[in-house]
Amino acid sequence: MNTENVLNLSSGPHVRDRWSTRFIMHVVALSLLPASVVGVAVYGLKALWIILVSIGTAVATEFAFDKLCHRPDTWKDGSAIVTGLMLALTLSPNTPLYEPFLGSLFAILVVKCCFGGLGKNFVNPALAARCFLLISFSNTMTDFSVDGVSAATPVAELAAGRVVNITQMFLGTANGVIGSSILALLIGGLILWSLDIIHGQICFSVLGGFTLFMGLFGGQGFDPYFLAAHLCGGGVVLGAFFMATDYVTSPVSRLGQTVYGVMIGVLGAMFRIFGGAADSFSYSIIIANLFVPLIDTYIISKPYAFRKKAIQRQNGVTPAPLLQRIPKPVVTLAVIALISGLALSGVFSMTKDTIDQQKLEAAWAAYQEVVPTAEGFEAVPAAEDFKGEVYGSGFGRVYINEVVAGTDANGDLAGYAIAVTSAEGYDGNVGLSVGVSPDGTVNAISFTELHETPGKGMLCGEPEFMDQFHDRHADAFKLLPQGGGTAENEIDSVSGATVTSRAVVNAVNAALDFYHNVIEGGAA
Amino acid sequence: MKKEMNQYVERLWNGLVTENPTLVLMLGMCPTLAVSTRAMNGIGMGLSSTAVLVLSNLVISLLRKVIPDQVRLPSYIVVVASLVTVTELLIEAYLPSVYDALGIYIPLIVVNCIILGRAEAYANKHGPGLAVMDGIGMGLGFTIALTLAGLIREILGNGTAFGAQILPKTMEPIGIFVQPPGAFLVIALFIIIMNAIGIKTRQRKLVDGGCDGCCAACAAACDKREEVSAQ
Amino acid sequence: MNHTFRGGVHPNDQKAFSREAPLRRFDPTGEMVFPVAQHIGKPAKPVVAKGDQVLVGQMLAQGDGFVSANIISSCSGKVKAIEKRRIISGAMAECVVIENDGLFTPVEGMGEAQDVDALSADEILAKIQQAGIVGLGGAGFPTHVKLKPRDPAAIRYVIANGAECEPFLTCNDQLMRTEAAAIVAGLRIMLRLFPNAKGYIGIEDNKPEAIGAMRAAAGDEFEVLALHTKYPQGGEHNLIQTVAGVDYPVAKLPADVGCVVSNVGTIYAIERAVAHNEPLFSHVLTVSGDAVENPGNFIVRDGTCFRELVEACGGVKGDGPRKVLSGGPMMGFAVGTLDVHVQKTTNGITMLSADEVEQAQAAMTACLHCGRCTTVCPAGLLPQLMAEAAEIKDYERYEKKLYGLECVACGSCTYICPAKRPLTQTFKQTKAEIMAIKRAAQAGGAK
Repeated sequence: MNTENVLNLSSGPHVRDRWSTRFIMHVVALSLLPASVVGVAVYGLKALWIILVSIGTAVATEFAFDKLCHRPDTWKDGSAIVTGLMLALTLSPNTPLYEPFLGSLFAILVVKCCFGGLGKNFVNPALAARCFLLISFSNTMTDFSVDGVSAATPVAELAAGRVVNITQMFLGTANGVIGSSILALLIGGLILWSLDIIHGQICFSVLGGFTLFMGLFGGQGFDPYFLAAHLCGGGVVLGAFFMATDYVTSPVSRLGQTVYGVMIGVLGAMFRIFGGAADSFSYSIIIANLFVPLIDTYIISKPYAFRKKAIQRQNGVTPAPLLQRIPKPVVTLAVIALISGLALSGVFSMTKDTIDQQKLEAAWAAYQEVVPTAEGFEAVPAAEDFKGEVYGSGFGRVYINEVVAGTDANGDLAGYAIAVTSAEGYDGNVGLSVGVSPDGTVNAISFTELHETPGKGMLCGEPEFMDQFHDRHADAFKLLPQGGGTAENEIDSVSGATVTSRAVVNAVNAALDFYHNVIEGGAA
Repeated sequence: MKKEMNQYVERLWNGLVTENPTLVLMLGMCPTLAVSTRAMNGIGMGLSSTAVLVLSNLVISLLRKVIPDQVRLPSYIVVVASLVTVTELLIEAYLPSVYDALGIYIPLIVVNCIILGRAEAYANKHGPGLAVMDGIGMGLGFTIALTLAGLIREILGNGTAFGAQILPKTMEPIGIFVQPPGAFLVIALFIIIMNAIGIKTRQRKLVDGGCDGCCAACAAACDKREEVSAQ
Repeated sequence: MNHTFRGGVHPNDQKAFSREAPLRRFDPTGEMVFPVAQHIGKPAKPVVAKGDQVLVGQMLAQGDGFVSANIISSCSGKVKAIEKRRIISGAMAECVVIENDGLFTPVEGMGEAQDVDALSADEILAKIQQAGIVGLGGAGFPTHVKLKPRDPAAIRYVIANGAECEPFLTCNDQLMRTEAAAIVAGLRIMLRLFPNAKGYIGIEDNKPEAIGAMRAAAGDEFEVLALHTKYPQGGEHNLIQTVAGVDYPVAKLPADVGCVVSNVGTIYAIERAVAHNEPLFSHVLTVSGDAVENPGNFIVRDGTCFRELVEACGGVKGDGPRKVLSGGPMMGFAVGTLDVHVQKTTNGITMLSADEVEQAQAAMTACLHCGRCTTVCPAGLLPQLMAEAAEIKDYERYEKKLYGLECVACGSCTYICPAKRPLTQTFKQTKAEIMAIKRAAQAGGAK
């Protein structure tokens, strides 16, 4: 009989609840299932592949790391599945498969395993991977085309002031990321909340903070349609219920969680209103994640016996007055930040007009260089239509910034100055003004932005290269990388700086194209 | 395999591997992250820094008995800044093509922590011969680290290597690698590899054998520093 | 919903094993072992010697000092030895060992009815002290000290603790069903000591029969509160939170917030001692679990060997237990052998065929930071952060910022933790380490 044998000795409690880590992870994964199913139903098999690749890579990475680094097997606990699935749901269905692969790899290997594994990641791994992919593959990550036809997401449409179909967004049939069915996400999220797996303080503070800030600063007041449209788009619901509530990267105390949730909501709304990128919520959640250790250090809820002031006095503790209880470093930093901020904005507003004036004069000076006989310049309205978008095709990534028509002292047309930028320089943008005389001859070019490699690309700014455009008549220029050009439309590349030279030539060609098609074509 | 290395060769090996300024001492991170976007940039910056480092180590080593201890840091800075400016002026005057090529890098060298770090940690305690070798070793270590990092970042983030297209143009390069986060990732990767294959860097020796008070790897924040300087 | 407190967990109450088994007296045959320290405070000093003949109800050891209690014999026979024996906690401790003659002859005068109304408050307290009564809920605090606070007039609540929140245990349930009148009489005696107080009886709502019986006995005199069944409802802090609505820290006593709490078993013992001249030598106990044939409730004599009780329950079931607990599974102690003896504060023997701690250790993962521990902590602590601080031995943060010493080790956080982390164990250990440092500092400073 076992009584004669060894009895286990251990310290209490000797019973445990049924729930385990794996159980919780599986429940979370299941709660994301409705959104995944709708995503696959709407976008088809390619969405399913993305989900499978993402999950598979995540689990495989954790398995490989555990084995290679001789760690206990953690890949079975289900957290990798959740990370992979969450990442997949934030991706566009058009994403090529190597991107969820790289993203999942980054999320598990760098953000989770390298920092200590389960429970030790410093930011949300799925969102960090999404940011990694956004920075690395900005083209494909923002490709939300449907059946090959390019389309903007509903949020981008909203930002442009257009109307969106909220029902579509709610059901998930509007174009967007795989996990964009608000209905399915809400079902999953509310199930998690009712099971007390996620904390209501977080998800509802996020939604509340976002709504409040959007209502106050969004430009349309508290219009319910406007707010609902914003709430349904851009990953707000996915972020609020699934990303922000990630256990490891959210605070411990209730008050801390509320502060954290409001911070995410406000930052998200702020980025959406005032920021340029399409994606606001990923960054706002990541930034708030970074504040969590600070929140956990300073916002610590006291045990019940020490909370109310009356009890504190009864227990012999004198509660400190409010000002004393705020830690000193926080106050100091806040004051310094406030003063700096005020000083900066003061100086900015003081110098704004002067700086603007100087910029205008510099622009005019550049225009003057390329249209020497002009006394005054007037903007050409047709150029407005091309602003902000890549111009034409075949010139690479060039943008027409501004086109002005110069008039000479007699009031006659002296020529056009076309400000154009090519994003295909070796080390960044190459900006120049092209001067075109009324008969279509290129007067000259002048650089407004050139910071290429010294000794190579920078030599494009030398007269030796620029003079090649002086008084040249051509419909389009051709770059000769080896040099030796003789014809009027042949430009010798700077030796060893083909990239920069090509960017310049493309920019000039785009300007010329604009001149021929838009100005001459009668749109002026 | 421990073999007795000639003192001077040891300095070279030290700068290249044992105490590689970028991967072990973690000095000069700013230029590393900013400049290693392309392999060629790495070479350019690395070699210019090496030149200045060697000269600065030489001068400070020669003056080591002359400069008083209380004003040593300001003195070193003056020396280094002057050296850099002199170098810049001389190159601009007599080697204009080189100047055009290296342009922006030269002023950046003044703020490179490696220069001041080696002056403080080595040149002010050893003779000029060894100091020069240390400068060469450190400079080459810096150059190699920078170039390698630049190469990886260029291949992954731009699809080219030393300017030549390697990856097919249709493949979208992984943009993050030409940005600062990518630099951190690549440097971290190198350090992981170095540790994994067991290279005996200063850090490994410290981890395995404990502090020996050389104060090269831990900078000024350690409590032991006073004990050691008192010895 | 019935009255309750913040936090807490809901383990399966496992009362079905023994809740209908009526209390039965058990008279053992083997030797009886009485540790001299079965209470909080200084151990008692033996007043008998080897070879002495003793009777039931006779004092074996006298309380030493202000906070101490007498040890009373529960059998008649010869004193075999006064020596170190292994006790429930696993340690070797000084015990009085009696050779049981099986006759159970009582001392003279035991059981005689007393005129309680004629006794003064001091006389009542003296009888309680003489009887060796300690808190039978498990803590073992000498009752006569608890009932003599600094300011008796400030006591507003005298609470009878019939919660019995520990899973498996049903002896208090049966006691309340069968001896309701005596418990109420005992409560009445206690209220003699506190002129400004009112009496309350708190019973968890999974014991409807007991609630009925107590309500019938108490009538309009005392309020019987049905409490929501939740662990640890029976803990002093939580019971006072529920009944009186007051929170107080570990450094204070219930008396400091105007409350006095006693287990119904203790109150029954008070009634026996004051009204019937019967000192404390027996109490109620439950033998339960899935590794014993016939779980039951007993009126057991102190000093009885565990093994005899288990035999009385039909012996072990199946392959026998993997773990035997003195008490219940939440706050009970694991014992290494059945050859230990019942003490005053032993209110249960739980025989478990499977050890969930062993299973948990195998399934342990890293802390998820899910926060369930924080949600269930009845004291409002942050076990998640406490565990982090304890692991890196940041005692400053543990004690001062996180109030870690407020932990009463109820085990709720460890019970609920999905990552199966050993939280309570960590906190007990950290508390011990911090107290050791403080003692060393005091000793150092005193020099």
